[in-house]
Amino acid sequence: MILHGVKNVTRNITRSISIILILSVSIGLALIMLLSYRAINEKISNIKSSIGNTITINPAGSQGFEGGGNPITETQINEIKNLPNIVQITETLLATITPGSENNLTSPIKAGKLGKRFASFQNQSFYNNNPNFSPSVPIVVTGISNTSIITGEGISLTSGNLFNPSSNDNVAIIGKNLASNNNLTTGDTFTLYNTKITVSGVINMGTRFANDGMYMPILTLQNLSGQQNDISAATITVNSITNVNSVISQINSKLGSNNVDITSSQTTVSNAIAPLESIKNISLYSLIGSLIAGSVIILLIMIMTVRERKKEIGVLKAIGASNFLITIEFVSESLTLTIIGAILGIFIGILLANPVLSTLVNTSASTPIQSSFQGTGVSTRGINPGGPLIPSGGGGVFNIGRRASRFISSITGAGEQKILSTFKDIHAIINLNILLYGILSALIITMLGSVIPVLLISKVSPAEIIRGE
Amino acid sequence: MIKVDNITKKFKSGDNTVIALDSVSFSINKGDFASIIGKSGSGKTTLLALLGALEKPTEGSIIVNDEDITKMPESKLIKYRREKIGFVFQQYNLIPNLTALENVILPMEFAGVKTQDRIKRAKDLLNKVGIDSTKQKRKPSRLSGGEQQRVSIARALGNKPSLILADEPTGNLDSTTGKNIITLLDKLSKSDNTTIIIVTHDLNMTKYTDITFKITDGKLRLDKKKPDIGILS
Repeated sequence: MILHGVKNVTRNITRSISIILILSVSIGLALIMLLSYRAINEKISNIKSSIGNTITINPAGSQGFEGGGNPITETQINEIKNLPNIVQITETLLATITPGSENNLTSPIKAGKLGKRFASFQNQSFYNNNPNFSPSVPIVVTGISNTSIITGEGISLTSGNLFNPSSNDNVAIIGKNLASNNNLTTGDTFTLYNTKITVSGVINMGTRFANDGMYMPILTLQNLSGQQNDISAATITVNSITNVNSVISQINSKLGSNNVDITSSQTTVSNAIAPLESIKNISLYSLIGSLIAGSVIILLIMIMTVRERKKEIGVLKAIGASNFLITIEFVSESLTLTIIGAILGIFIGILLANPVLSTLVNTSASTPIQSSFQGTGVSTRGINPGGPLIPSGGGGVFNIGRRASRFISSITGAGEQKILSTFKDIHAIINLNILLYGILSALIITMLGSVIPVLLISKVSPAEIIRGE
Repeated sequence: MIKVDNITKKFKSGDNTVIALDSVSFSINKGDFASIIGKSGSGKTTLLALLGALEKPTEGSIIVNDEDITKMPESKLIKYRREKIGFVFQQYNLIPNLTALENVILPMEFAGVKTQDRIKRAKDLLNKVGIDSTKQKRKPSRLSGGEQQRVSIARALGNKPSLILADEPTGNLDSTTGKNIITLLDKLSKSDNTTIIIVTHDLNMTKYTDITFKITDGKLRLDKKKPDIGILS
């Protein structure tokens, strides 16, 4: 009966071709939407697990050196490091050193108007009385527990090697401006806190500000600066953006919301990926809609065919065919039409999946991303997509507290820029699975479209057919 | 042997009940060639449908080879129709997109006869009813009415049924072709010892059959019986 069903396709060639063309468009659209859905879903998952999933902890009431209260301690970090969904904790300690006998380095940048202004915040009357006095600009030293902070896109180690961030070795990687200003190269030594420090590498961080400073293992800086156990800020990487809130709440519960200020870029990044979520939903609804449309086509065709061949069904029953056999014949016919439609649909899907996905992403996502990106009002100069706590933006070392808050902003900025670039990088994955999806679509369409016709077939009475003669 | 015992068939027509068959009883021996004559609407096609197990009577029983087909479940009825009954229709009712040969093969396919066996038997049957190998490959639309009815008879014989039911088998044919068809049925009846029941409104057909029943307003009576009838010429 299967062969009879297949052969029935040739009964009315014009109608069969029309049905196949309609089905191919329906299945092609379903495949395009399925591939788009999968591509976007995968991209969202990647974004959620790599961007916007960071939490920054600062001492309550203080950011960097600005404000009051007490620093975060290693003891506090130890309390939270084993919380669920936390992937990594990166600790930083900031210190400023003043060029002098303890520190035989000179700052590569002059104070200028900004430096004077910031310095005047600390001693207003002195600068009022000595308007021409040019202060010495301190040098920022950043202790880090993870080298991911000084690696990544836009950052390059121009010479030397990275140090072991968990060691207490007296080593530092120095910004290229600081290195050239002090004639330092890899392997040279300088004095910091009266201690001989070896230059393990020279780095180009991408911004003037960051290249004016240096980086060393956090333990070394804690020891040298007398800030044992202290941390300026900690950045916590969570396994997914969706778990950020629960981790924040657990940290608050462990450390107390009065003891730490916790910020995250979750909301901003969530807003930025909202267009993708919308496209994902559109794809899903279109996928379901295409399958339903295909099923309705098959349903109507089969109903029409069963009505047309009612007499034939009655005759088949009279000469010994069961409902099951007749159903097989009709389903084989519709399945043949659907599979041919699916084969054409697969070609349509392969050809148009990426152009349609690209159009969907470009038209639906560009405006919201731009507004979200601008809405933060954050400078993204010198951002480090790979590692968050890199000094950036203006303000100078006198205002390191404000700059600390910019660290967080730079994370957000980095996330958005990364999302912006990643939006352009969404591609439907076309592989052999598309054949599977195509055939699966055909089966779903045929099954859904066959339910009512099968009932109609079972209701045909051969006696009525004979009587009708 | 077929024994019909006091069957009644009622239909609902709006608020009314129509009695299509009213306490019909008769019996036919194996190998008999019987005709049921009656006017349009007299109930003869309903009787044929009941004998062919296409529907069930409201009352009464139909015993075919010691089995009451009115009490059979649907699954057994399908088997009964497939293996014990052969239908011949007034309008032939061949499947239009199948060749003559494929049409004859169809009931054997339902019965699960092996492919080679069913092809051989179908060809033999078609040859027997006078459809040559060239015409066997033709679709019904390329056969004459008489040829189509011959194919229909070959199809009815596919599974070697014990009973052939023919509904106005000559109704769409001219008198000569009709006579040929009825002669063919008679030959088959005698050669294969197959019971054949035809329903017709054509009184001329009754002269070829062994037994004739007349049905009027759902009531059946024996019209005539020709115990000595031989092969018709």
